[in-house]
Amino acid sequence: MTAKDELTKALGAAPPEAVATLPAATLTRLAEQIDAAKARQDADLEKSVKVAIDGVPFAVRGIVRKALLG
Amino acid sequence: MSPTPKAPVPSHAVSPQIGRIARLLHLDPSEVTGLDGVPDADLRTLHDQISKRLFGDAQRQFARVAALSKTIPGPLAGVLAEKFLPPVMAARVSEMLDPAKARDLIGRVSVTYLAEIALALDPVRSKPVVQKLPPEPIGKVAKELFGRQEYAAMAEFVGTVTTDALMAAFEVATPHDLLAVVPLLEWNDNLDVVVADLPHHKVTQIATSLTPVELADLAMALDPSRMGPIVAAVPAEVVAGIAKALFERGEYAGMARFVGVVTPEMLHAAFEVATPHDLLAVVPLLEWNDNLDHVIEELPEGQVEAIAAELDPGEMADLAVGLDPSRMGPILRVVPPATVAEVARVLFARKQVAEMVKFVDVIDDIPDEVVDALLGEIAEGEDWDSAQQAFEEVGPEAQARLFSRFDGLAPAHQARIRAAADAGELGPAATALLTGKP
Repeated sequence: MTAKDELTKALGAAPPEAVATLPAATLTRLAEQIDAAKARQDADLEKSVKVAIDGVPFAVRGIVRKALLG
Repeated sequence: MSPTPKAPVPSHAVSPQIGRIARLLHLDPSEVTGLDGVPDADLRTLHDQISKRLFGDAQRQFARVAALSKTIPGPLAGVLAEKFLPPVMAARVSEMLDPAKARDLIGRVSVTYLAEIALALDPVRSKPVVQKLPPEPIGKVAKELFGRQEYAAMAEFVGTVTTDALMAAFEVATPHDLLAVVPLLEWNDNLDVVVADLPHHKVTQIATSLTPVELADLAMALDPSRMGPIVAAVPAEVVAGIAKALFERGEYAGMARFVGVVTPEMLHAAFEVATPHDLLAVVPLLEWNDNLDHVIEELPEGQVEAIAAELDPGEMADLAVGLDPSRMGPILRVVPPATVAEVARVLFARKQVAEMVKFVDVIDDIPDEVVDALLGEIAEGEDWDSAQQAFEEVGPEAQARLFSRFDGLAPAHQARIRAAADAGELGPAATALLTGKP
């Protein structure tokens, strides 16, 4: 996989042209940084959902659970 | 002789767009490397792509929580949100709130919590909601964020908030906050309005609280046309300090931009601290105006003498070329004729005859011996094409004044000029004037 492909995968879309033509090392590093941020974001959200469901008063826990988990 | 090396120009900040991307990735801007040459428009696209990637998957989840806020009474929603909804998640939900609901909730949670949400908000996606928020709580959040020195994050919102909200933020900013945040701002019309309408007390506070070096930093970060109210409030005695700091950094182009917005007194103060090499560097960059004329006229003789003494003939020639001749009068009166002759020699050597001869427009200010030297240089140089072209361009009075000194020329020089006339190498004006000579 080329560095550009790695970045496209990390972004979920093709990067802008001026970015796509940057050196491979830059693209790879950026892709890794985005993947790391995504992993952290997902973990934060998961933790937030758990905190919210466990923490809200029992009376509203049902609707909060439904809102958060669908 | 080349100008003395200057202190390095301070780098104000990472590009705002790279700063935004770093913030999104929870990185220090210095960790986002290799993007410096990418145009801002592409960096914005990249930022939005990353934002979508990070938060896109949970959009439906956030939308459901936003919808939930409609079914829970406002007071309870505020309490529950602050207690159980972490700021990162609250930020995503906030971007999807009904603006009316957001207005209600913003008054029901603490400023600390709001500040945390603000730090996690996406400036673009949150714009429809943020624009409906009243300025007062935004001012409070701004104060909290200024207190935390979250300048880069705040700068991202300059295009998101309303003019009133921007004004509220500027109101609570200290001069040092502004000094830190202004270089990070991507300028827009709202900022123009806010800076133009800054209250007098705020402008005075900025102009009098910052040191000359700090004001110099602020000046370089702002477009001069936007500095008008602040410039007017800077005490004249501080201007010399600002100018000195900028001259020391070699910020000549940045300084030249201010010529049109400063008062004559400020120009005086700035010129008085300029070294001859500073003047050599800055003069060619100036867009001339009446204020500059007055300043040149009133330059202390000692300073002009220092210029003549310190600059070598090549540098003096550069200065002469950079100045409009009609404005050189006060300087020409002080510069020794020998120096002018040397400058003339340099200009001839560079074949800048046209530049040299244009100075005969201020012929009344040039001593006879200098005119003699000028004519002598023309004869010596024998660049008749250039001389003819330049001579034909000057006015009849200047032509007559120049040739009035013909008789004082060395015989050899007279002979050369006559020979050129006989050979048809002089223009009609010079030939006609020469015909009248015995």
